[in-house]
Amino acid sequence: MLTLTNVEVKYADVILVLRGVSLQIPEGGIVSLLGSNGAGKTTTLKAISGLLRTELGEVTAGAIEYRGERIDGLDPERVAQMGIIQVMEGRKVLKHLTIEENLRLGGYIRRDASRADLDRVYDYFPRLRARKGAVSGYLSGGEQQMVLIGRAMMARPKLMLLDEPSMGLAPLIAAEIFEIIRRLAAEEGTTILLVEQNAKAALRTSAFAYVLENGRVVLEGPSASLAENEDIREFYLGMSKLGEKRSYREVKTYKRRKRWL
Amino acid sequence: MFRVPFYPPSGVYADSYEKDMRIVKTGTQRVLAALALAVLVLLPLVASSYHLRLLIGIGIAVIVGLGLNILTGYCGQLNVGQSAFMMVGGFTSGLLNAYWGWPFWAAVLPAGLAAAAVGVVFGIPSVRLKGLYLALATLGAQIILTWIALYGITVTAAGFSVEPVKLGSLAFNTPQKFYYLALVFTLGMTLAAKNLMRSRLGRAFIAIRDNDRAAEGMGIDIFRYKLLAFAICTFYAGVGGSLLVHYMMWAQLESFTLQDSIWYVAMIIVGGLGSIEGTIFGVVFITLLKELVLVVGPMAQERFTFLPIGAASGLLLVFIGSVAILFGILEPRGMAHRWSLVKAFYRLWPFGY
Amino acid sequence: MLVISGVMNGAIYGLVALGFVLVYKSSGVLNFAQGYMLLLGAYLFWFFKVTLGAPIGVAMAAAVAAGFAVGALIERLALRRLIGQPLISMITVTIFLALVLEGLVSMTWGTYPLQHVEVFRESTLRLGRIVLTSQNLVACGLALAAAGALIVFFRYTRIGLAMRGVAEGHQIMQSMGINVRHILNVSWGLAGVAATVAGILLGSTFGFQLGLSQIGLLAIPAAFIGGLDSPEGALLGGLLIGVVESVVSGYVGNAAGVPAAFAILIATMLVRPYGFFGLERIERV
Repeated sequence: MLTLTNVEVKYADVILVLRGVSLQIPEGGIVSLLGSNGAGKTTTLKAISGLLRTELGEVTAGAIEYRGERIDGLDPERVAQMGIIQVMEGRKVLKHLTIEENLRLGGYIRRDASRADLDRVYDYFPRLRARKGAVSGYLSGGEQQMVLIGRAMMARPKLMLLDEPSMGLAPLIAAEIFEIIRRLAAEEGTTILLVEQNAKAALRTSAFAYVLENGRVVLEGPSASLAENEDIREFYLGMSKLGEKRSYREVKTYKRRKRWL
Repeated sequence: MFRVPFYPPSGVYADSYEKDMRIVKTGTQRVLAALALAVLVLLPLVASSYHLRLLIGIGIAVIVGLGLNILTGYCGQLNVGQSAFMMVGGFTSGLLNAYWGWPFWAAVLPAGLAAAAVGVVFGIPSVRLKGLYLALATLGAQIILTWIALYGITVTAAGFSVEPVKLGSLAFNTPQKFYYLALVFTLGMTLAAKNLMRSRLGRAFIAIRDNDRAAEGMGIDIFRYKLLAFAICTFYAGVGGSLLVHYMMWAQLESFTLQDSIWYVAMIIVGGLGSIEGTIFGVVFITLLKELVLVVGPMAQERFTFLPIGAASGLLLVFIGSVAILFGILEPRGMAHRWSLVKAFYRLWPFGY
Repeated sequence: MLVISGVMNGAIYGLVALGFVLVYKSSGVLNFAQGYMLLLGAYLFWFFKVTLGAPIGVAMAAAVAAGFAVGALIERLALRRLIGQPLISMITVTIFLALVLEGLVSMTWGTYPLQHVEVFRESTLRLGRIVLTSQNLVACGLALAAAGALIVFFRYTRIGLAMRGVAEGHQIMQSMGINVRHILNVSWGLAGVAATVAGILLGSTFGFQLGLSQIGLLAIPAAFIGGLDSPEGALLGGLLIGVVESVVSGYVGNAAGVPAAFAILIATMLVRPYGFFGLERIERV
């Protein structure tokens, strides 16, 4: 459905953030993108959605293709109209608007957005229905994240780019969010590209995963097998081989990272 | 704000902070500065009164513009009432001179301080807020102060005559003589501004401009520093106003209109926000442009008889307004940035980077 | 009496202030050119009415359409090119726009007041000691209707909702596929419409002259007192400023109304920095 081939991204013509990232996202299902801070996950999403262009970034090499059509270099509005909606990190609700107004704006690009769409969102998030007149800036973190996902659903995207939906949420709420994401893919047939730092949850939710490090894909594979990967277990899941205690003296992070590059 | 780094000519290395912060960094620069100064000093021997009057106007505008650039360019606050504060300074020193017989030398400091005091009164409510509310408050200041001068005080409404500046028996009452006074003041105030802005104070202003929250986090008292920037700005305006009044030997309301305030904003935008040299470029450029339109306008009016009465003054507004807008869009960093690009190019040639 | 005439004019100020709010709310720009858009709108109406000899209704419609075009054009040619630059550059550009607009008007029509146009038939109405002219009444009614229409538009239509959204963040809106530039364009256009309608009404009351822009300046305190981002507040602020201006001018004389309005603006900053109806800043760290 979506293919990235050797995508390179520069900010302000100077800062090279992605150095040749290739991804394949098949129709339907969930693909997750893991990596530590500054690895280039968010940049990858913004390169796809076109939002890069609003912050002096540019795809300088490679190609992004959506259903066989080049979309790198398109305006973000255009990309969204093609059915790719990005849910940005940091719970960017439209603070002074109510929940319902937020959702209605989400359906802005679809002229046929209707009551039924709103109800569908409210069925997924009953909590939002109860508080639909509330000013969204005063909601709790979890509720704001629900507003964001609901807002993206209003556009009936074919592909949803989710940027760290669990960030800063209580584990219970985070679990609820991941459950919703799974249902979205299963019931609505929405393809999802999930960016996460919470590797454990992401691997459990997705079918396939990529690991990004320093602007490069260093590992890829079915989520189940990645979860068994020694490096992943150690660096992202915080587990050692057999779950036994290890002293920091034995950790040779540097060497192991070296092997990837 | 992105700036072109300073590329020293090759072979010149700053091996201490003192050297790096110097204004005049190389021997060549010293020679050039001395030459420029010599030209400025010797100019009245060859220039006509018309040119000198133009230069005096530029000098005074540089002082006023510097104040504005310290506030707008360095501290990121907008002031659209600069000429009203000039008026406060001008009238203060004019009244002290005409009614209490204070000489210019004694009146110029109170003039600056009075302008700064009035400025602070208008600044306090808006500077407290984040955002560009000072622009609104200074627009209010321009309107309120003009009204007070027009209806509140009888003397200032009509205008009154002021004595020329005297030093011993020497009276600065011709353009030739006043030129030197203006030169000394302009150079002095320019150096003061340059020094102020490379001190701790200047860095605090820049920090506030670039990110007020982060500046606050670093322990900079935003309210105090913004107010201080505004006080400095209006002080410069007051001194400029005082000079203007004593130069014209006549104090009147018409020298300080809202439109004048906007010209000052145009000057620093065109010249370059946050740049002392830029202020000078901008003042010179806009002043010459104005002069050009003042010559061309009436000619056009005469030639094209279909133009309505007053079209010439409209032409001035359209012309300078458009130039300022074009600068804002095409070269927001002003002429100063262009100049540093030229310098960098010259020093780095033939290597681009 | 003074209060009544203040309310009459206040409705018009409120309309101008509304245009100011439209632009501020969607882009954060304080539009210093608002009063001059009013001036141009008034003169355009005069041009259609007197120079081209169109009937009143046609001239008004044409002027309003032209007002929209002027607003949209300003956005397209100047403001759009400044996206991504500090707010201060955008605001200074509106200041210079004010110069250009005033200059254009005086280049085309000169600096003298134009011939008076009777827009509405004069007749007076007496209510006890209060004397109203039909001119005032109709102007006030039209201003209120236009302001009301804009507020309804802002509240209840799709584009109105999008405008309120744009105010909160351009990138968020773009991530939803909403064309921010288009929305801003419409906001500026509507600001032009508000200014033009107000300009026609003010021009027919005070005469078609350059001084109209000064009256347009009153929209700034009106908008601020109401809260820069509140359309309803702008209307109420306009009414308040209208009353204050009329009462102060009446008792103090000497055109004290305008400075008084700005004095109120500064006083408002002290007590209610976000105006009386403005949105409070929601800052969560």
